[in-house]
Amino acid sequence: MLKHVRRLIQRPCLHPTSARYCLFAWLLSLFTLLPLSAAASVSTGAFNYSATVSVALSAPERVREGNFQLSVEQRSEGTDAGNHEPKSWVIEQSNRADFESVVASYAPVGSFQQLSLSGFDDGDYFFRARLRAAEPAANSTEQTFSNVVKVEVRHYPLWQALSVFSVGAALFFILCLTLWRLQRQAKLATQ
Amino acid sequence: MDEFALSTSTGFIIIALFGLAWIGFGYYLGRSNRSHEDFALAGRNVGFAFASATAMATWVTSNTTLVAPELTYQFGIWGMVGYSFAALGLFMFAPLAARIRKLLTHGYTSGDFIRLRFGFWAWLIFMLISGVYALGWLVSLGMAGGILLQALSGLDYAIGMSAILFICVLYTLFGGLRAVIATDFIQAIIIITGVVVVAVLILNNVGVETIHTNLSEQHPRLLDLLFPAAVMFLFNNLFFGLGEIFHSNVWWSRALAFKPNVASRAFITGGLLWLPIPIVTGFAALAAPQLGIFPASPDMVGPTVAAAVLGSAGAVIVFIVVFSALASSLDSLLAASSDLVTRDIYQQHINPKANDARLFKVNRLTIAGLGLMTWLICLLQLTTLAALLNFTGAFVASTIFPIVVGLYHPKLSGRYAAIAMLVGTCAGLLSYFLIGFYVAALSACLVSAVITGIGVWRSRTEFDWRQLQQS
Repeated sequence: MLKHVRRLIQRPCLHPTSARYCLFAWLLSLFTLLPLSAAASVSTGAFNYSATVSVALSAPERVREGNFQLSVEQRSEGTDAGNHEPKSWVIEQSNRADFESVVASYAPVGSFQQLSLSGFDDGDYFFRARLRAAEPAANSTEQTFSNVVKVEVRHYPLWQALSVFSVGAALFFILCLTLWRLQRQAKLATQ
Repeated sequence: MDEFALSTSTGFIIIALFGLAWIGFGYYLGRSNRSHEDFALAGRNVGFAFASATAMATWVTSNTTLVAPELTYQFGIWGMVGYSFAALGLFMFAPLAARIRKLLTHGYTSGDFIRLRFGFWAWLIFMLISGVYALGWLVSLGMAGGILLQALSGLDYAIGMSAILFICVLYTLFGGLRAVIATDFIQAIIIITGVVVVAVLILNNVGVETIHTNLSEQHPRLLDLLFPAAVMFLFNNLFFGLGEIFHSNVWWSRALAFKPNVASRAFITGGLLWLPIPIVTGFAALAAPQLGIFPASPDMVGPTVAAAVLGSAGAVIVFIVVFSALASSLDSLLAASSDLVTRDIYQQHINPKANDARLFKVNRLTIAGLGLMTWLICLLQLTTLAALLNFTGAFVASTIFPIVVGLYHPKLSGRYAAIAMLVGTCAGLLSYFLIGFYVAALSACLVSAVITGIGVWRSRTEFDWRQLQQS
């Protein structure tokens, strides 16, 4: 194999025998990576109910762009804690820390443990994660919630943003003017 | 949204089939490479159709397919429109390309120009900037490959990233720039067709009115034209794009590889073809909240939305389009960066007497080495795509004015060009860390422009353009 690679690099152009090398390299990569892909696919299988699962939510305290990421961490305790598969969850949003009313809820994509939100106006927002049971009992009211996190959104002042915008516009104008003038001078010089 | 749009094995089979096709095509084209010049510059004979397609396809990259939706998801309307301003980079490079072709008739790289025009110190700073940028872009492309596969099929990030890198390194290794440009042509057709199909299907499936209503109620800032961070980001993105194109050997090698009267028209056509793509890919991100899609990381939003709206068949289209976009940029960057290392470092400073066969070998070894280094850094997945790319903005934007003025004005000296790039980069990095990524490129360009202006004003010498023929 090493001989093939060395020959490949040293040749000024490739010969038909290299086709075998291409095919060989491709097949090798396919066969070595394919089993990995199966092992690596994210499992969404059955939950393990003999372990007690707790959930912790984390988020940035203060953001200036109105977008942020919420991360969920699930911990399990009990006899089968080591075999624990992550449970599915949703994020609930409220305007108050006591979650008197939930104003919105957000579900993650697939089995990811993070979730990105954007487009928030200035204000304080409260979030918590709620675990979703796979087969909730009909009369069960028991739910597992995470801690409550507060995200403070404070956008940059508009005057600051418009100042940066004006500097950018002026600089772009100067660049266009410079390019146009230099191009014109070069044309005149060749004539 | 609980399930992935594609099964893991489907994702992997598509990758394997495309990989075989690209590698086989690269091998086929590589057979006609007879010299290092053939390998590095495709014989300096690329015609208009291939030239336009490669300009467009190379500029459609992880930036356009993944970062444009990411920035739209974060900054709303301005993220989408602001991103399309990057087409100005191709338009404004058109006259520069004609000038480069005229001045460097025997040149190979952007490094050749900087070394001959500005001397050693400016060259050294320029090479550092180019190195940081090339590595940042390569890593972002590798990361994008892993993210794409993970978002659509749940395949582990490290495996998807490794597969895409492996395929691109292998066919670039076989075919050189000829293979890169030829595959770009096919990839451009796939990208344009795929984006049009996705746009039509999204508009048919999700109404503009429902998206607007949802955003107004739940995410009002995304529709706000006075969104402060987005307003700040607008010109920053423009200068970042200009810096990327003006300095990078990806674009210089194309300017030198195209036929003499083709370069200018090809870049304008490439820009026109590119312009609507970030609008379409960005629009998909605005539909995300309405569809109940809240991605783990904002850079996953584009393919996730498209797959959710269009189902498995749509996910396959998205997958192929984004994979083509990534491959078309990754191969170009590998080829251009290896040329820069071979020509500017190895031939100029290590082995000036190296013959053609030796340069050929070093070029290929560099491609393989760059691929390996990129893979190792990608494994760490340190940050999001937009943050990584915009970090490099602080570097590349400092080269805009020294390059534009240096290509036309004989009075700018090497000392001022070097100071402009160095101090500009430092200013950009300070802004990046103290304020945010959305002002890094702007600050770098502003400081560098002021120093370049002072350099021209204070200069007492004039550069003799004939010195560039030494290349």
